[in-house]
Amino acid sequence: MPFTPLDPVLHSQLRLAIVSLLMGIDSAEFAYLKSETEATQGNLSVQLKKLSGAGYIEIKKTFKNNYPNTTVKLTKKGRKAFEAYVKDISAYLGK
Amino acid sequence: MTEKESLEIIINMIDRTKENLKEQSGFYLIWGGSIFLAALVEYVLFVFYAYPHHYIVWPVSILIAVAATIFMATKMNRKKQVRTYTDKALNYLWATWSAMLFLVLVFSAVGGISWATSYVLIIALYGMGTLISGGILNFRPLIIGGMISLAIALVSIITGWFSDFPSMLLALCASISASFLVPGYLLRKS
Repeated sequence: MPFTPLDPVLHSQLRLAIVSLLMGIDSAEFAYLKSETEATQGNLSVQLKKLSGAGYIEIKKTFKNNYPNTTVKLTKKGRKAFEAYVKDISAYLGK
Repeated sequence: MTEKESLEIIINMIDRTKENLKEQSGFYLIWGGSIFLAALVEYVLFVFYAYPHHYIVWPVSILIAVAATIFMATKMNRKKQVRTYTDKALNYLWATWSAMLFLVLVFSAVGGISWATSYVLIIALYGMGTLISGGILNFRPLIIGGMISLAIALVSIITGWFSDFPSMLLALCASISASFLVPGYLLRKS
């Protein structure tokens, strides 16, 4: 059986880490993602925009304690893409 | 990035979203403590002093507990950067639970059921809320506490305690200790 090419949106270290984190939670703030992924602010912003552009995540900008606050949530499309990605890498790893 | 590295990232990240059970303990202790004290004080006022406005302890203790809950929730939300599915499930559970409690209290207030009878329902509600949250948090003392409260409600019906107001106040003390105070304390220590 031929291998399915891996989803290029998810096949990147930081984007995969973000989506993996969001799989287990309802929503997360930018600061939480930054501390858990240990990414820089700039890089995290860029990768979030890419994920949002692909329709994998939903970004909400609000205010918390008078400061701008970004909340990120996985979309149905993102969840499906992650599940397909895990299935694909499992095939590669022969599991 | 190899497929093996991808898998390592996924496992590592999923591992980081484990629940923090300890932060839930404050709510059980606030409500457990205030309801326990209110029921006990009402019992003393009713049985030993025959004070006609013995019920006055309830609005006072509930107001204190609501104020403490709002203060604690605001403080927690300020720090909280992530909302887990557990948080979401518990929010829905306790919001529905509060609505049901309100319904029982209104039903009693309009004379649909006696206060003593409403206590059986309230004890059963404690049992239900604690049992479900114990299941969601996978925390055995809450599950056991919930079962004890449901058992107290059943025993109150079978023995006829529900028709005796002072007995129901003591039953409420026992129920709140088993389903809120003890599990709340154990949760804090966990």
